[in-house]
Amino acid sequence: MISNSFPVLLTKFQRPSLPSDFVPKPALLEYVNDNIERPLTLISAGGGFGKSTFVNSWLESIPYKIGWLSLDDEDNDIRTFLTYFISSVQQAFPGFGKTSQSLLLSEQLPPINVFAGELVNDLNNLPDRLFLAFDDFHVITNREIIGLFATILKYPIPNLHLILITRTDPPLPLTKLRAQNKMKDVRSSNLRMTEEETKKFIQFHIKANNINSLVKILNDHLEGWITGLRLAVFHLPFQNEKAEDFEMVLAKTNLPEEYFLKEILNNINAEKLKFLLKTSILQNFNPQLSDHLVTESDDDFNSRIIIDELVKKNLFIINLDNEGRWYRYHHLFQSLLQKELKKRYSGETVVELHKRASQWYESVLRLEDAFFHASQINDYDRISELIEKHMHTTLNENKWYVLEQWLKKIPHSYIDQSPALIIARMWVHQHKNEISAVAGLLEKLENLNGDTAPDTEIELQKQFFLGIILFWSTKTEQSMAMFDNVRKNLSPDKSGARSLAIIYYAIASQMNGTGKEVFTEIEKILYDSRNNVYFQTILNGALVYMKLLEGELFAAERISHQILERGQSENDIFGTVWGWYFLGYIAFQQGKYEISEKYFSHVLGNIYIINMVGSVDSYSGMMLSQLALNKPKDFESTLEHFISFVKERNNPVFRTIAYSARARLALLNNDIETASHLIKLANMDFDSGTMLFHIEVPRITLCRILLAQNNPESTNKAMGMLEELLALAEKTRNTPQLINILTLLAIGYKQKDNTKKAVESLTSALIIAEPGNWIQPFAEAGTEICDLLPRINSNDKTEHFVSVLLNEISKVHNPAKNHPIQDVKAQNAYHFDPLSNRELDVIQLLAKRLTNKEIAGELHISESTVKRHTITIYQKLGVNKRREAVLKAREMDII
Amino acid sequence: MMNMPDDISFLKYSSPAHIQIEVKGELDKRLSDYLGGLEIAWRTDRNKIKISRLEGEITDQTSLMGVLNALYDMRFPIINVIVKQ
Repeated sequence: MISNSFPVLLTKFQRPSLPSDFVPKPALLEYVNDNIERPLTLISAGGGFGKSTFVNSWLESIPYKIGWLSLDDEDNDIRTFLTYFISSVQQAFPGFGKTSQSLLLSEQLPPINVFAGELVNDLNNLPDRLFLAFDDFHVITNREIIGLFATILKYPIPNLHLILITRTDPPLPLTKLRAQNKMKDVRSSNLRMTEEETKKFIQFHIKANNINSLVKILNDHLEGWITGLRLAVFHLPFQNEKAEDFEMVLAKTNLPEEYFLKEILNNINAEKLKFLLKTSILQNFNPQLSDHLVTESDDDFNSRIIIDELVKKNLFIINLDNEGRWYRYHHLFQSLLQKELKKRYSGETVVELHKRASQWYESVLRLEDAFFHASQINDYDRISELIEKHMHTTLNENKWYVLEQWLKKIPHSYIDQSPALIIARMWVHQHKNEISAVAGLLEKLENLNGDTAPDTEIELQKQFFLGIILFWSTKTEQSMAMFDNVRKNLSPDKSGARSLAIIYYAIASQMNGTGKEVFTEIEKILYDSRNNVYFQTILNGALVYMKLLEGELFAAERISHQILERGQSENDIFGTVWGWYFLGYIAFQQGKYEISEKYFSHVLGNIYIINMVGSVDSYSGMMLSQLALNKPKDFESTLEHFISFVKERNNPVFRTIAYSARARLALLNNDIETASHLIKLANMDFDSGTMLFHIEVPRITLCRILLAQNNPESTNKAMGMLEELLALAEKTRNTPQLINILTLLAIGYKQKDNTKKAVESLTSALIIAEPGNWIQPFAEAGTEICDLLPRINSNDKTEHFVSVLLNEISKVHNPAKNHPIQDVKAQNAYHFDPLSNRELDVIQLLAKRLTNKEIAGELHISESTVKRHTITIYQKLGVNKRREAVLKAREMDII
Repeated sequence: MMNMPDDISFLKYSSPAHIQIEVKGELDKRLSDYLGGLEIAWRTDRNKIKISRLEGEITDQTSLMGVLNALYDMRFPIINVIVKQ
């Protein structure tokens, strides 16, 4: 199951082979071999100094394992980079980095510090010494990636020696590393050819007796620049210039390479010229691809012969795989060749070349390269075509983030004109749990339709998203019909999309009372099918969702164990973590807090694997379990992780859940004041519509707190809300929330001195709770219901259940009373007016040191609006300056 | 922006040089490690705008480019670069 999250390009791991005219540098080798235990060697020099060649000669001379990665612009994407990083280590140690790699597969990419921690951990376990070289490191501009290297170098890893090959010094703390003897530099002054080496090199190529004056001239002018020398020796045989003439030419030009190159191009045959110029647009190439590009009409072009000749002469190109399949141009020549291409051919020809390259790459399913060439010529039609054709392949593998990357390659204005691309964006939003964004796009799609004939597959997907909107706005019955239609009619090659339709159909049917038949139907699909593990986990997960909503915890437990067992036996982390989550949830609701704490802690150790809803719910369950077990230290540490986790995600829905969960925990500590303040920070606009079975539902927590305030006004408000929630939960047959709501209603009635109604409510709650042994909702209500329980009109079953509950309440109720567990950060949040979401956006950008103008650009609002927001922020936080505002907000835990 | 000393014959691609760079804004002195080890000093100009000055020896042009890139990435506008003998 564990595979790379992105397809990797094997050629990037290949070290360029040593050219036949390579002049060894024994003194430099001795220098780098000294203190070889150090963690870093920096090879920093301009283009064409032979950096990579030198490193390669060094690596070939030492008896250690080697990893090599040639970087390019695309590697600035953090997920792409990490994928390549791990794969490059795997070139030496195939089993390396299972943990870090599983993080790359997760729904949510963890923040870089979490990832760095895992990666460092994995690297610390390297079985043997590894020399890991990164070529063209200067292309990396992503600060997170640079930061990752800084972290690795801060606490050096015993078995890892990094080699960074770059054209400019990287923004790492080099001075400190040098002072600590942790690095060595190889610079242009070390790499440049000495006069002696220049002589050897020229002798290799030119069989002449008196070359001393030539050597001196070249050495003076080129400063030992190997690439210049190589061009010079290839230029010389054509011109037969005298040394003095040659010197004149060199003195006149600042760019000898350009001069040499032109001379070479002017003297080669038309075929070769055509080949060099046309293939110069390629990042790397093989004979087939070159033929495809260079061939005109019916003549057969044979690239192989030309490539072989260039390799033999060490001219222009570098072999990437030592097997003669893939090559790339030396970067310096490539840009010069591209310049010549533009001079000698029309713009249309260049566009046509990129188009051909894009097609060829698509035909061999190297999509990233296909996108690259389409992007080079801003061919948005082509990019859209590629996305449309391949988007479902990514969704089928649950790799929506790849689709997200693709969509970033086209402007929004362009996407908005294409139904298929709008649909693609909706899939990404759906996976990121951004339902309001889906609604906005659906409207756009609606407005687009009209003059074109509807495409069935597009219509079906549109229907899925309509269903999503209906489902979450409590119109579950209408949504069910839509999901049913989609799951039945969407073409089978869209299995990712279909499996989501199945899940939603299952939940909606459960909520509408037809769950039984659908349950059997899904069981049958599972039994019949030989689907992939991911699809099976999804289907089994749908079954668990149904059983949880039905309140049947024992049935849910049975299926969850199957998910977990299959996940573990098939080495499928996705299924494993979902299994843990479900089992944690069930144990928690049954009051088995030791067990729930254990499962939830497994989930939290792999928090990025499941979706955001699952991770936030696991945090809530974990903290409530730790509170019940009276483990203040563990509770505080979970709370701290939880706060920073939600902060990283920066999603208003989860921010709301987090404040609400903290309010509830404060309440359980009898700190009503803190609870009341925290719940005010939870924006209830982000908790509306259909409820699922989750542990933390802000609306319900608000009712808990209102009831705890226990004054006529707050009780009335709570009762009003609870009645509405009751109707909603009844309508959607939501047993878990029904139990909670009915129990809270009982407390409310008691406060209003209506004991009869209170007992009635509690009885209804008990009757539906008993079959699944739901303990937690009653245990949490605690003493509030202790006096009501003995008055239940009981039958045999409930009588036993009541005695169990009374026993549990006496055990777990308020263990914290004697040792109050504090939400320390919450104390800081007192007495301030909460910031609106827009204001939160603004302050987050202020924290990034952006100017008003830049913030306006980021948020698509005017500069004066930004100013207005900042003034309100200052007022609310009681500060006068932006830096103060940022500091205060950090202190108060808002950002 | 680039100020030149009177005689530049000593300057080569691979050779060290003494340089001074000025940027607008207050540069954290702890960043020196990331900026070629150049020493950082502050001053204010006549309009009371804070200016940071980095000064010291750089190994070669590659190292100079590294410093300039880092300043650019940190969004500090560069006022001048002076190469001294």
